[in-house]
Amino acid sequence: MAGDNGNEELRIGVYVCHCGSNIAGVIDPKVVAEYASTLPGVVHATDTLYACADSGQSLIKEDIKKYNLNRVVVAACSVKMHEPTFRAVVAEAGLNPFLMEMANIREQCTWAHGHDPEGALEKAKDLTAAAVAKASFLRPLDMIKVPITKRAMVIGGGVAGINAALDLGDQGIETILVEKQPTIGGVMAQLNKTFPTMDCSI
Amino acid sequence: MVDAARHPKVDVRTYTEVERVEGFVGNFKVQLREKSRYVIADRCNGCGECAKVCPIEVPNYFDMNLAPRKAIDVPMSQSVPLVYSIDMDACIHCYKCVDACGKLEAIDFSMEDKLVWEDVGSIVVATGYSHFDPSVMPEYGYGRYPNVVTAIEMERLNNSAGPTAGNLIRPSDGANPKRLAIINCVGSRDKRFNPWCSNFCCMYAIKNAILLKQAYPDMDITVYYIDIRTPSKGYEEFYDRARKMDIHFTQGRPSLITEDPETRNLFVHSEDVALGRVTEREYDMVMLNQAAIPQPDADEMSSVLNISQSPGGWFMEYHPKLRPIDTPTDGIFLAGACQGIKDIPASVAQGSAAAARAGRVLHAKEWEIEPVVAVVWEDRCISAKGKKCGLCAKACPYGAIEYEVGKAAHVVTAKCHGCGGCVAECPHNAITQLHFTDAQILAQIHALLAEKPEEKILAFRCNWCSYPGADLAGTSHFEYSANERGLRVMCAARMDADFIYEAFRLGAGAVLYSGCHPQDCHYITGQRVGARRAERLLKAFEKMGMTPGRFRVEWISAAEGDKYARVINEMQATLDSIPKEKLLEEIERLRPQMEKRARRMRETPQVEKALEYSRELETAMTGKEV
Amino acid sequence: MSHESSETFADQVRAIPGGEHLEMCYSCGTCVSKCMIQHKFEPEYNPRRLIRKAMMGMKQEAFGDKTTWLCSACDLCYSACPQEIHISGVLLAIRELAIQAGYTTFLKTAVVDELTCVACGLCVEVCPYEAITLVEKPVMFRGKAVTVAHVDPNRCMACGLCAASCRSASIGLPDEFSNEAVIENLWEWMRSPVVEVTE
Repeated sequence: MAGDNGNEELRIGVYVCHCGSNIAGVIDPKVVAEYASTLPGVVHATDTLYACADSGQSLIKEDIKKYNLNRVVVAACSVKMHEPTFRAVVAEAGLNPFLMEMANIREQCTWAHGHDPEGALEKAKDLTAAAVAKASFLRPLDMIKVPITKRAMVIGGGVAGINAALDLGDQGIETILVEKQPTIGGVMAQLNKTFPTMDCSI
Repeated sequence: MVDAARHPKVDVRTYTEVERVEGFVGNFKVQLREKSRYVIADRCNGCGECAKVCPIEVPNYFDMNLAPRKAIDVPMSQSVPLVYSIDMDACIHCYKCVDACGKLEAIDFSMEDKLVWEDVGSIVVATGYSHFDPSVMPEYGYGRYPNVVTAIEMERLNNSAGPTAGNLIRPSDGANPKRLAIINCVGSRDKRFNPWCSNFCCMYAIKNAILLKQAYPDMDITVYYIDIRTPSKGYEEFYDRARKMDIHFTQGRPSLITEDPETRNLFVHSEDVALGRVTEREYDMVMLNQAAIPQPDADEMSSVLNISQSPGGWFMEYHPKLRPIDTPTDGIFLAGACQGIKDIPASVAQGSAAAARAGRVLHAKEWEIEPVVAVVWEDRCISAKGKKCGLCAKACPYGAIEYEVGKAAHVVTAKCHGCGGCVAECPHNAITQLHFTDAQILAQIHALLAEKPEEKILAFRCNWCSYPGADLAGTSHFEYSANERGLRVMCAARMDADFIYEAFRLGAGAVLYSGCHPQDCHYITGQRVGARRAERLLKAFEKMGMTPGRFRVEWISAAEGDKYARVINEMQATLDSIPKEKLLEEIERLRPQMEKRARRMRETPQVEKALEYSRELETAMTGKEV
Repeated sequence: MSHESSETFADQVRAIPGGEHLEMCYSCGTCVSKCMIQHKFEPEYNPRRLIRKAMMGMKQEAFGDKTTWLCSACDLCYSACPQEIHISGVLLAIRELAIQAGYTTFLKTAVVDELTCVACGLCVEVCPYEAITLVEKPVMFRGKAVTVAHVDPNRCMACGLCAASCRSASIGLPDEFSNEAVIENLWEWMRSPVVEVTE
């Protein structure tokens, strides 16, 4: 195998999510999974109804052990949605979380190409292949740990800001409440009683 | 309010503005400007003797400028903190206040603005909203007819702590109005001004109607509305209560208010939709329930804090349903109306939620951030060989690269935010970015262009704006050409010229180079590093004779899903307009130049391996030997 | 009103340029209270209700509605509409469909005296609704192919500009707005006693 994985043989697992009908309503995830199984380095590829659900997560975790996977590709939604989820999944199965790569076949494929299921299928295959390609070159990484300054700042002394500052203070966190006007209170302090219970506003 | 001032852990800094924010989660540095009050807060006891002797009156913003305050004063008697301040623009320097203050010696005319830096681990943004100014709608006569007032002015006029001590009088003659019209949706649900529903105004109209009816049982009150929206707990019941109190609700949005110049009474013209008939009714006073709009300095705040804005100017949450409190910047949270219009219960709830989200960070001993940082291959850096270069250090927005001739450049990991600008700028391929290495990205490019590359639109998107912008296009179901093939890097700065050359060498039909708008860039100046490179590429391709539009540079924010879809469709149209033979001929013609320009890329560690792997992958993908 | 036809009618209106933004109307009534026709001329005139009828597929009711035939496209409502609907565009789209369905205006539209018309084309120039064209046709006593003005009654809004501009009094409105009636009205007004206007 030609991928850069040190001396280790590449063993990639690919999971193609249906996301109910969100993905499967436009393309057939099975076809994508079958296609992925032919790609170099892929030892196991399957479709799954909801990759992010408990059952989907357990499937990935079990497969990592069963097939001795060392890379995981999840073709599902946006990284903004579930990258942390699947990183945690592979980590729980003992893999480095950075050995997981996602292909976005929902927001950036089926949802945007409902009018063109064939085009969407081709795109989903390519996006999955690209994720497999990237996965082949992934290296284990460690998170960088940074210290935390245990102080907070709340910008704006209206009702939301005051309440946030009080709650932070009650948690024992030193909090700076910044207000640009000479008094805190915001719009609420200007009001005459408030709905629906007619309390005084201050 | 008083609780906040008394809380031992809460430090209230009023009359203070945020100037700059630097750093990252757990380690923010915020520069504050403490505006000069000319009164020493520790010495002022709030007695108000100074205001009594002050001869100058200025409009009080707190009373919507309906009533005066003194040049030295507090906005209201319950101000927190109860510290006076001088309006220096109005002060005539008579120093009577200094005498009145006497031994307290709290007044200091030499005071200046103070700039201070504060270290904090987390920031909650709760900057609120502002009021739409209805004077831009001539049909309602606000600003011309004295008895047309806004809702917030009504709040002050009907407030026992307000300028009239709660006695509602109309501005033209000081009489108590007997007939009042309340007009909803002034500047809201109005495409000409603000398309949104301002959320709380229906309830606000009902509240004011009930309060006034209680105080003045004979008052004839009519609320003009398009729809009445009472969705939260107890709200519909509140509306019922108003109806039982003989408050009139007329469905119909007034088109015009006219005034009798003698009596200053007002005539409201509207259709009574229930009757299907036009009415013209006379009132003594009209209250315009104006729209809520973002703060006028929201744009400025968003660039200071490095957070994005949704359409309309509200601050953008990480995810509208699942992470409504977080911003895309780790450690910065949103509370209240700055994120989107909210009433009081929702603002209070979101304040608590933001405190909990911030607490999650602040109670941690340490916080993990992604290791997508830059790393130097010291043996490849020409600076180590005694040559002058330093391009990497120049590209870094954070000053994270130490550069000295004779030594290899060194990345200070703690300072590196991982934009990848240095990686793309290095002419010797001596730096890489973890998790976004050249080899990884090239392998992706090859996979995406394995089949019929001439039909494909390869789209480079930054992680913070154009990738979520593309997500939004999908979430909103804005359809675009399925020939698009997207690829994510952290910042436009990382979009190496070599990647673009390689894409065209492989025969890509079109390439999109997209990132944040300059003011939204997550890495201060990363977008500019990328934009300068994109300009150079555009010029180079023009010189080569590439059909315009095959390489396109667009800045697309996370809120511009429609723009993402439009740009891709336009690029598809460009491709469609080029005859296929001509396109293939052009690709062949330019291939040697692309190859030549990208030749150095092959020296990068692991890239040969990536290309080797890609051949294998392409064979598998296409079923053809490459 | 049959339900199957309801969608089709709204679609038909939308398909005509100007009718696109039909469904954006949320029935606030601003257009109705802004309208001068409603105010001065025809109390039953109601563009909001007509748009509603179109949305609900009430085809026959819409075609028979006076509002369909009375809008002069002054666009006072357009600048006031919070949904930025080009209301006159929608109304004209409905009128277009009504004409296609064989309905005609109830307005007393301009008529041409073909015996005296010299086809100078002045009325064609001044007509704000492009209702007048010059056509060649046989006119009794004048010949087999005479060029004369022709009024499309479905476009004519009976404003009378053509009558005012015609130099040979060959085009005009019938009955109470005929030249004779207007002149008679003017005479009457001029003969009436002067009313003092005081502060």
